[in-house]
Amino acid sequence: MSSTLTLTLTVPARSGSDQALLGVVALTNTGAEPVTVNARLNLADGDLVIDAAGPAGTLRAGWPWPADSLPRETELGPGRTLESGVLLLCTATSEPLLPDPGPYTLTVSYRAHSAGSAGRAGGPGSAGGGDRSGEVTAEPVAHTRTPATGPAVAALRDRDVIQSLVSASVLGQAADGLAAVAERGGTNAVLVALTSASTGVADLTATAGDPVAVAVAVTAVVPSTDPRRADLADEFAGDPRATAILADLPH
Amino acid sequence: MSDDDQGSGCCGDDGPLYYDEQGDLLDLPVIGPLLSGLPFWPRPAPVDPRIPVEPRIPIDPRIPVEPHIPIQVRRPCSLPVLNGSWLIEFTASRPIPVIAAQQIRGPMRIEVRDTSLRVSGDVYVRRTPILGTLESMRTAFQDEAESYSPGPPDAGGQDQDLNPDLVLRGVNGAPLFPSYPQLPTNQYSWYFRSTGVTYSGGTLTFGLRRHVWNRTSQDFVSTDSGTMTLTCTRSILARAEVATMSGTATIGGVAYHVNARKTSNSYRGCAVEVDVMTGRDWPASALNHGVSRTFQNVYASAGWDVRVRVDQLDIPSDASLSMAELQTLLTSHRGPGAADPWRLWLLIGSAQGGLLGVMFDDDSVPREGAVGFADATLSNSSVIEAGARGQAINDVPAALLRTMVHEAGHALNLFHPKHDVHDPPIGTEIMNQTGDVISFASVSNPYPGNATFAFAVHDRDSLIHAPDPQVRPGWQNFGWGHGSLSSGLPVPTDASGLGGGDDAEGLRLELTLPGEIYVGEYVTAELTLTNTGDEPREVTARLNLAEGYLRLQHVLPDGSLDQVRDVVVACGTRPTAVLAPGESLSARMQLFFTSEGITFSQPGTHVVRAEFDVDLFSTARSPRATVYVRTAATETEVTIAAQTLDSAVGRAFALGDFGTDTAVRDRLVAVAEAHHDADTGAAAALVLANSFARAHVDHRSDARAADDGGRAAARKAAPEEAKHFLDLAMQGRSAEEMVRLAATVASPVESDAPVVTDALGRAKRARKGKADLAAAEAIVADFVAASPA
Repeated sequence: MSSTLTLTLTVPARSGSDQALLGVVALTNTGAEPVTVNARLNLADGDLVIDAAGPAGTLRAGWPWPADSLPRETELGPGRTLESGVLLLCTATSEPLLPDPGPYTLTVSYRAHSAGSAGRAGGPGSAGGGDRSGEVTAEPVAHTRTPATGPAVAALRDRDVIQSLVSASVLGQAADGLAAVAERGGTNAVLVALTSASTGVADLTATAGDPVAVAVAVTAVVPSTDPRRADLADEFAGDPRATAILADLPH
Repeated sequence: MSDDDQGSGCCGDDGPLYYDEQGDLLDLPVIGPLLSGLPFWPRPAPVDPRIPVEPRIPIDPRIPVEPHIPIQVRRPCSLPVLNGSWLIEFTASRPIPVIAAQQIRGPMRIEVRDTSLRVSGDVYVRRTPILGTLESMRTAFQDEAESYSPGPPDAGGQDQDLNPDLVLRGVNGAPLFPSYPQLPTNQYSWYFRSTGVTYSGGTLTFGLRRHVWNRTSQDFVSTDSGTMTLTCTRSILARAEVATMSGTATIGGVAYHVNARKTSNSYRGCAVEVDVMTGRDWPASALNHGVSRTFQNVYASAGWDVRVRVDQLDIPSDASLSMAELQTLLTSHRGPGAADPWRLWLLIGSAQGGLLGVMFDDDSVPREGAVGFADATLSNSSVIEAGARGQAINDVPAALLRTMVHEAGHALNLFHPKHDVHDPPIGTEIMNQTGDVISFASVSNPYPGNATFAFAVHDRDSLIHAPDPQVRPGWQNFGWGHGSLSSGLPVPTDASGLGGGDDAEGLRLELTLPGEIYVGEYVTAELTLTNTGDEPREVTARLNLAEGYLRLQHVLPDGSLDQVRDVVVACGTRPTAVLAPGESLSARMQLFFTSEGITFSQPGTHVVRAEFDVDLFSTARSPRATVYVRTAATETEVTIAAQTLDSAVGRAFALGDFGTDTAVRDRLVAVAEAHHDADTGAAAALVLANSFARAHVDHRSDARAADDGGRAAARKAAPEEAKHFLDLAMQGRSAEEMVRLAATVASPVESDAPVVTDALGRAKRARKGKADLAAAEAIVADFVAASPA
């Protein structure tokens, strides 16, 4: 069944060490029949696995807090794509994912079908956590992390700053570090804006530039069904791709 | 069998039982060292200590035994008596000075199941705080043990733990009020686990593997082995007697006397405080297949005694909780508590996206709080029980209870099976994500009915036997034990652990290091020892890395551990200084080049902790400092690193002198001339200034018979050169910055190194401000005080 599904990761070819890296993961049905797939296309739920092999070895992207969640599935029609933003900033232990400048190879896999679903064989206890049935993988992606200096570089290694960006809230002593990160603009500014509950839709749009960019950043750090997603979807009603991304729906 | 020995007839004298390395009962005689010379008896009837016992009136063990009772009438303890938590204490067999005595003690868990017997323990070591005999210390320790208890349920409060069937009391040799040895984390020294057990005639014999803990790296760094033999007998008549064992152990080649006292029939305990948002409910119980499930009895099935106290029921509601808000709630709503007893805070909250719950506490004191989101809504799927479809889990007690037990499991460092590095099966037990449990549900076996309200074997083993640092809330971060966080290096050591003295009460040692450096950058540290007590304190005056009283424990990014000392090793008497209350002793030193060579040559996160022997018996330890080391990035950094990343240059920085090595001199000159605005360049200039300020004498030179009193100057003093490099270092710096750097460049064994006084003189000529100069003079005084005369 998974042979009709294609997984891709899209990231910029290069990013500076003072920039948080955002990617877009996309699951596309290339077959002729609709397929019911796992809609938890994010790091927080733990079904999406992204490894970064670089100068210091291989690290796995993660969300720092273990969470319990319900299954979410969606029907992926022929030619339809499920997309989501993914923040390639840290490991599950809040360490930097891309700690040094240099070339990286990003590999991605996704449990497109949940443990007990039709895409998997056997009942409870029949498969270990490392079982790969129901999983799709993407072509490895090359990315180069370029050297940079300035306070944002150190801030992006700070545990409080990392956890703040990933959780879209301000944790611990992150305020100064977040300010330094925001000064670099671009993706950084959008992610920092999301850490403030007072940031409105207009502010986000003004910072990010276009609805899809906002949707990618939001889905990377704001959990599904968070009210902010619905507010943004209303705002971007004229952009079907952005609204689909925000709603975890195919387009 | 005495009346309080519950179980199915195994009294420990039915013949020897043999358990293999995994703790599993062996059916056949085993040929090997463990069993050689011992007869094999038929396997006894199985015993399952999990089976609840008949309720009975507990007998208070504190009531004295009548003196005429013939307490010598004893028989071996039954297996259920062995099963549970014990307080174990080791005393060295060899005589030791009373002043050097240590308390070596901690929890031991003996898990007896129908076909297995496993032993594990965590040992905490502290220097005995009082002068006296070992016996008096043990008495004090026993008194201390009473304070470990979470205490009896508060009948007047909302304590939920009132089911006598679930927490066995006063039976099987346990005290009426169970307790769990929970000791200060800074005393943690080692962990042990059995590698094969026999139990015969009341004698428990097991091999063990010991893992020694390093308090600096906060990891296990070595492994060795040993054996322990404990004898457990009980009076036939004194029914309520708390079970004790005594015996011997040999661990890492050291022999000990061992005493143990049973503290509970459960293995571990934890106090749980619950707060609830307005309009939500704590799921006190839920029916699952007709059985009442509670938070307590699910944990009891894994051998945990959790005491739940539902505290606040009216935390203001919030439509969507952020991580920051959850952290604030933890800080502001958790009740006060002592430092050592294990405790956990749970919140019944509103919502965070579509999550059911999250263990949100992953800061520097992690895993103390978790939340379940009562507003999360189950789907209308046919695999959800009809009454639960479309319902918030607040209205589906079994679902909310499962999530709360699950999140608390994360706080005890348990992983989702699908994310666990040990690759346990995915199933329907507690630690599976609810999404995975539902994926195994069906129309005929819908959720939450299909959920298993018990921990899988892998998680139960971890809850019972994993080391305290892994399990205890507030200790190691999430990911330690089942995730990606790693363990350390094997190094042999003694039973007291790697640490020397445990602490130096009334003294605080602070280590200041830069947060980030690049490979090749000059690195300095500042240490301050402060008397925080009320009385003057005599302490070692030599706060330097050369004389051995001060050491730095250095954990490298690859997890390896090293000890940092100066390149010069000095020996001498131990001068002392008296610190008045509030007074401090400070020193600055270079760490660029030490006994490790280039100390920070490995990119990544380094952890450093200072240890200072403040007197003959006490060691002060600083909090851990983290240094992030990156590769040189800018053109300037690359240029500097190209000159400094050389052992000979490093040695010149460490000694404050380039000697006669002209190649090193040239490298230092290159850095000093081009980059004296950077501290590395200024440090190079100060090394040159120090060198040129004095002659360098070669005592081995053939020319020593010449005209210099038997010595020859291999390098003559060059005052003008010295002045030039002092001027370079002074540029753009305050007097304090200049002298601070100079004090690190000078070798710690050279209190008369010219660079220190010359730097102060140069700063004075620069007409710096009074306060600035005063600060510089204080640094010079510190340098002289910390150096051998």
